[in-house]
Amino acid sequence: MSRLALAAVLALATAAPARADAENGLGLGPRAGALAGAVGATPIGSSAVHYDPAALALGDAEPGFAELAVAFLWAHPLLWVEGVDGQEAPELAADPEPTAALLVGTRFDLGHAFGLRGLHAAFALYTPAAHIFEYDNHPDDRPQWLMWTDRTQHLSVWAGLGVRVTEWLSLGASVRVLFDIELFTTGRVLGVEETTDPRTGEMTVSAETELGEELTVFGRASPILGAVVTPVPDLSFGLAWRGATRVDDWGWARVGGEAAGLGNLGYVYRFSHYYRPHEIALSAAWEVRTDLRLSSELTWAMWSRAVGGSFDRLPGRFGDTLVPAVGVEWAVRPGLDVLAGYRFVRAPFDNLGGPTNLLDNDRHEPSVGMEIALDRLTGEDLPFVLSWSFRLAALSSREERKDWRRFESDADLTHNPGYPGYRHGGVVPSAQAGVEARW
Amino acid sequence: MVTRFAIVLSVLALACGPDAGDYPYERTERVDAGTDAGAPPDAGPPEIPDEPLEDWDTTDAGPLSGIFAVDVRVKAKVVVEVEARQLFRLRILQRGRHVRLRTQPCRIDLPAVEGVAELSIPPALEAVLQTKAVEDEGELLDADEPVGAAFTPPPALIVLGAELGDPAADPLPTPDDDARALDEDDDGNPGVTVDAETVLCRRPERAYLALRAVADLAGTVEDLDTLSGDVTPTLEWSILGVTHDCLAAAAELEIEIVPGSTFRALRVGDDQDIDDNGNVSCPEIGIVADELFPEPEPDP
Repeated sequence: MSRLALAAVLALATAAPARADAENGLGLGPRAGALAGAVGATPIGSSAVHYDPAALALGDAEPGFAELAVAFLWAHPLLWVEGVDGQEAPELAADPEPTAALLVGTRFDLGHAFGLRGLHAAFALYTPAAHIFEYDNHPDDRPQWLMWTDRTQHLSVWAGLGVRVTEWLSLGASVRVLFDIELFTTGRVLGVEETTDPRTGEMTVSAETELGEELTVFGRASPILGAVVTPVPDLSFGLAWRGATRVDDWGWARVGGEAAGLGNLGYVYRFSHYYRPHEIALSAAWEVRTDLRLSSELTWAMWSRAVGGSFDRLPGRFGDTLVPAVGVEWAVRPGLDVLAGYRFVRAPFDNLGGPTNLLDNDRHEPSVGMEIALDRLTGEDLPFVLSWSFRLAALSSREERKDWRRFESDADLTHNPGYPGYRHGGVVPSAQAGVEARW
Repeated sequence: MVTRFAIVLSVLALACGPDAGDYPYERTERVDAGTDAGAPPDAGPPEIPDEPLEDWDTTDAGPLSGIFAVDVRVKAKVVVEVEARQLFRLRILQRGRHVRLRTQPCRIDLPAVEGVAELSIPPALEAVLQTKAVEDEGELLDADEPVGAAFTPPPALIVLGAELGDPAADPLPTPDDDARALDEDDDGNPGVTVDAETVLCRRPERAYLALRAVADLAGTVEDLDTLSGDVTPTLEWSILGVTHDCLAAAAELEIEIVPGSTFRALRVGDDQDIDDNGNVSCPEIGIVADELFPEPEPDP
């Protein structure tokens, strides 16, 4: 493939909207975003329904309390791809569209109504701001960002319970629901007309077709289980298992041509727009002083069982990862907390010189944020907490060179859209702002 | 202490991302890099296999005798109307009305809907195809003076990928009844293997098929170097297998030959005898075909 063609292909691929994984890449809510996801053993309100539902029972809330949190999320990936041989091709630089999403969560003292102490329930909803979901489908050999395309463009709903069994043990369970799509398309060709351009001789075929679609949306539930142990008052340990989940998209299309004297044509398809593997997260939180808390989390993610967008297993190219994260909270003054964090995300995917062109990078993710509890800061009866966070995902530059041994023939090698190779990287700044009200 | 350290290292190794060791190579030998990636830009002169002229007694041969390149344009309907091209080498020995004829297929393009479903014959199968020459002789001209005479050779029949008792009439083998399928290209697959690309396939695939093509020519000798006329072609195939399910729809496509197929035969000689061996063989005709039979200019 010529450089120009490679440039065009890569430019087209990277021009598609690239969006980050909200829960894991950006943080579900400003507090989780600021602490880099090291939140399994700390009270984070309704967002615990995703990270460790046992943490729903943590915190110093009054009996009979209820919280409602609303947050707005924004991310603007700034990504780039260039050919390996150093050609000047500015059109390869990616300029993906930013993304915006809304998170609504509530946590309340469910046990209060039944006389049970420490039984808290939570619901959360995450939705893209512009639509409920939007997906792109591309073959795996088309250069595309594996973790930054479509991954926020889905609707997620959580419901969970956390109970403080004893002073030192909390348990929790929740369910995350994503939505699968089944689409059957039936068509009927009514007529085919050929026209030839008298000047160029180019033939155009026009087909008059009736199309009908039958769309069904299914919920896909995945469980999350967690426990938090507090052996001494200032030290907590958390353990959570998050079940694997994905957004499945399947169906078929059939076009009948009998009315036009033609044959029938059809195909079936199956895609996976979002895949999240089984995860086991070990977390810890230590309240060093009354104004300082440290937290950490180590997540093992079973990516080796993952599927690509075309539902292929792609053996060898996906691998399990360990993701470490640390966070710190400092109460600058009563009612004003500064938060910071860092996580390192090892890329779970590598093309390894093969035919796929799914772009993925190791990421360093530092983050900062702030929480302002108006009632404590002002001494007035203002039961609101304002919060914001900023996270910068820095994608380590990565190089992919096509390896002839991975292709059945040299024709397959040289016709691959990523041949002979490319480098890619970038940064993804993201920010969240929210308000939480408590009664 | 050492044990704990080893356990930690093992856990880290298991969770450090993809492992190339789990991703087997497709091939480990690459004898001539790039040889199957298409013709190199400076390929040098083409290599013509030495193929001597037929050893015929040409005593008293008439003026029409010689070698002709025949371009057959088959009109077919595969969803839409398409044109497929077939190329033959024709050796003629003419004495009055009597003609001895050897018809050798050089290239057959299968009807295709460009960009939607395309089947093509790979070089290995083309070599097999060129062994399918048929010979006939008889009163094939309707006048002693060839110029202006009607030329009506017997139908040229080609069967690929099947061994049929009656090549003209027996049904082709099918996936359910492939006992008569013949692995003529010797690649271990039933029938002969053709390259297949369809809009539903993400990469080039292959189909195994049995094929029967008949070209029934009826024309006129325009001059001693040119024959032309109509063709009544027959083209049928049976898909015996495919390398990927994405070809299933293409395998169901039905080809309908429509009226209007034509042929044109032009004398070839020293100018086309690239290897200077006194014969213009199929590979040489293939090289000069586009020059001999250019695509017609579109109407202004």
